Amino acid sequence: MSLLRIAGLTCRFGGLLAVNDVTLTVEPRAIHGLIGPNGAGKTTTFNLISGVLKPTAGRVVFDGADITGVPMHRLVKRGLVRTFQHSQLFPAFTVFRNVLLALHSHTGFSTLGGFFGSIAERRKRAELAHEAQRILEFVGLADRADHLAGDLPHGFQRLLQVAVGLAPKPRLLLLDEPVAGLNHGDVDRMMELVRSLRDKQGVTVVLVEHNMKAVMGVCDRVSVLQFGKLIAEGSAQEVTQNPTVIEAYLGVYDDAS
Amino acid sequence: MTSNRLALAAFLVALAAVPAFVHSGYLLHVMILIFLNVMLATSMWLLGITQLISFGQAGFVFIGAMTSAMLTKDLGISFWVALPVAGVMSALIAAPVGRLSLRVRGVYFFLVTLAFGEVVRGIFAYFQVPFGGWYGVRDIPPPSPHWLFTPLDKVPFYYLGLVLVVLTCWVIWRISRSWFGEVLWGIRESELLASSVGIDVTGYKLVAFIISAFVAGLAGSFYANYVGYISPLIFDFTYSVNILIFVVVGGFGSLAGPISGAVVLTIIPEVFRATGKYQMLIFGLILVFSMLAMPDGITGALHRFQLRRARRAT
Amino acid sequence: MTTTFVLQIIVTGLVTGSIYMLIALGVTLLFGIMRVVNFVHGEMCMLSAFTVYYVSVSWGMPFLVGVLAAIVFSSVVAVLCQKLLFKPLNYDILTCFILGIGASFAIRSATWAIVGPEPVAIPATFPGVFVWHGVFVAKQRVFAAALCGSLAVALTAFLHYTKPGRAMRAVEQDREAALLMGINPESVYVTVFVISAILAAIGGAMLGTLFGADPEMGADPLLKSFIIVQIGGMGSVLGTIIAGLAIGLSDSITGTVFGGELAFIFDFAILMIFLIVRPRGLFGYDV
Repeated sequence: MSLLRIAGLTCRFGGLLAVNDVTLTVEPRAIHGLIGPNGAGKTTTFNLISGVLKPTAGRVVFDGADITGVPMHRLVKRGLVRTFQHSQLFPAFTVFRNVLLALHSHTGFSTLGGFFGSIAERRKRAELAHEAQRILEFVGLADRADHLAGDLPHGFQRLLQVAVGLAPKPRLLLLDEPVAGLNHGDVDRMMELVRSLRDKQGVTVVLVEHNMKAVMGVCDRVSVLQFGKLIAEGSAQEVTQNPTVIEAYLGVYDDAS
Repeated sequence: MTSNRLALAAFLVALAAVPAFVHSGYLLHVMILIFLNVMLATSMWLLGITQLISFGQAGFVFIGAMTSAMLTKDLGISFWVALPVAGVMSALIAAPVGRLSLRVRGVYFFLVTLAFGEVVRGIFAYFQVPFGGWYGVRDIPPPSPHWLFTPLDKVPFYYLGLVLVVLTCWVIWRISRSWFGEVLWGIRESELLASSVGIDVTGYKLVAFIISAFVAGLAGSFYANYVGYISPLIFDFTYSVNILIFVVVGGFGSLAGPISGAVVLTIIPEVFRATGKYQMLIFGLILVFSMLAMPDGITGALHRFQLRRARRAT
Repeated sequence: MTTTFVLQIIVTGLVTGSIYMLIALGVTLLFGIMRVVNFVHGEMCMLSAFTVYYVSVSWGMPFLVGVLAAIVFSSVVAVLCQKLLFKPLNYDILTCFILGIGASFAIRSATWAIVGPEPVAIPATFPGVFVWHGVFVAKQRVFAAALCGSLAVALTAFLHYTKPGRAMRAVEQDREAALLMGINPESVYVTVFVISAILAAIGGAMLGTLFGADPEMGADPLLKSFIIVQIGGMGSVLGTIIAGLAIGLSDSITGTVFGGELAFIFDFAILMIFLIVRPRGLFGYDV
């Protein structure tokens, strides 16, 4: 059974159809790409899936359950997490503290214990700290654990985004432009990380991306949006040779190849 | 850390020893006012971590005061019962008010809480029975035992206030350092990110709102049975703004902010006791200059000063 | 409960409502376009009322001159607020709100120091009463309502059919796109502040002629404006107009039945109902 299925998803802002009747399916443990020229509605689609926006029409089904319009923080408990196009961090916290707080949703912390520092709470804190360390090591940020998130260079900020996204142990991770603004080396590192997310952690990933090379290298299936509509879907190979897609991307495609 | 703890302990001992050396009823009264204001400022601070300011705190203080007044005066219930009940009453009312207020964007939260404060005033002012109307409620009895708490001797009230304020500060400090507090700080940094990792941002804000209302209720109860007279003229919008000024001028960074703000800004108007309305002018100007020149408040400015000195030393 | 009685309540309500509506329009514009709440708005109403008093009553100039002076004075205050208070803090919502409160306290206090706490009356420019179907309406009130109504219409026309008006709406909908199209945000901002000041000034002047001027008079219209704007929908001119009139009506009804103080509580109750049922207001955008 597919992990994520969206059907007829539509989002209308006043007169503008940002997302128009989009349907797509994501299989478990797949890495699925969502591409398209600027303004195609990719991030809006993510917003619709992750509960940031309510769709005007259509449904989102996650692991057999209808999650249309469910707010983002409740989706996390179900195993759906997303990251953001513009790095969202807790800038004044250290890298470590960022991930620690992100582990929040799995803490089962009793706040009362939190108020008064019971022994059980202290033990839990130790466990979480351990877990945070593991995540940072997986992502490659362990040696920067005590740096302030806001001071990190851009490439590492995006790694931190992934670390934070991993903390709640998602089954499906929506990555919004994970390699935006990264140089070649960082792009490769990020793509490697995405691959190991699936291979080593069993996470299904959906990426929104502009960078064709990155997408091609890592995605099993790709859906292409233009002006809010789905114009093509298939394997990475099929999609990049599709004339409609090439036409939609004229110019952008050339830059990335 | 231990040196800080020693300093704190010494400070508390000093505070406890004050009545032995200070015999002026007026000065003790000012100290008690400071205690009240610190309670209010710290609770406002906790809520303020999430970037929310309630402009209707006066309403919750009034609710607590009125609850306590009615329980102790009309029903003869002991102050020691009325005190927690007053807090709970404010908290109970805060729940639906907070829920509704949080449905709207930031600025509108401020406005709705502001309106709420006015409504509380309006209701208590309109219904002379049982709330006393504009005349308020007088002859509110002091706490029992009556041989200890008399309207003439400030000292027992001083200690009562001291205990309340120390308890409040301690609890709020623990909360801010706890997991709950950590989430609040995270919400301050990025609500979006907090949501995306499963934090129910609105829920946490609501809890912080309720806690601050509870403390306000306690403060109101203490006020009622200490001063003995409450009226809608006291707990107005200016009162809420006063509390805000304590926090704004003191600084948000840590608990020291609202405490120092409350201390400084309770003393100043007592010094300039000239006229009531000029007080508003001064407060207004203080607010404006604070925001423009010292957005981090006194503690923030001090902190930056310390940083600069440290940098120059290296 | 005769028809005349009911009509009387309705007419009074609509008249006061139209004044509140005008003042609220200033708030909604400022918030819709600049996402900022200017607490000094209420004091601009108050200052205008006093300006009209001093210019028209004390110095004996024609009423129109008084109103014009009030408009100029308010605009100056508004631009000062914008340049000295709001712009340096980058229009940050919370700090501007607090700043506005501080400034409004200072202005209120200073005014009190200068003019004293007693309210002053401004004699009506149109004394006398209209009688219509047995309903008594002061001519002054009709004038006020007519003025406010036509200004509201003029404002709507301005926003939709003139270049600066459309520039403002563009900035409201998408600041970046507007910038890209060559609209200068600073001039738009100043214009918005000035327009809201003018609305406040005229509203304040009207309030002054109807109810007199006193240093504390700014608080009530301000609070009512916030409720009106929330109910009507932030940034929606039409919503503000309808909500303003509705609040005026509600005040009139509750004031007659229950007495003045309860009116505000009813307004607040209406606000709460809206918050429960429709937080975005009548015509606001999705929150």
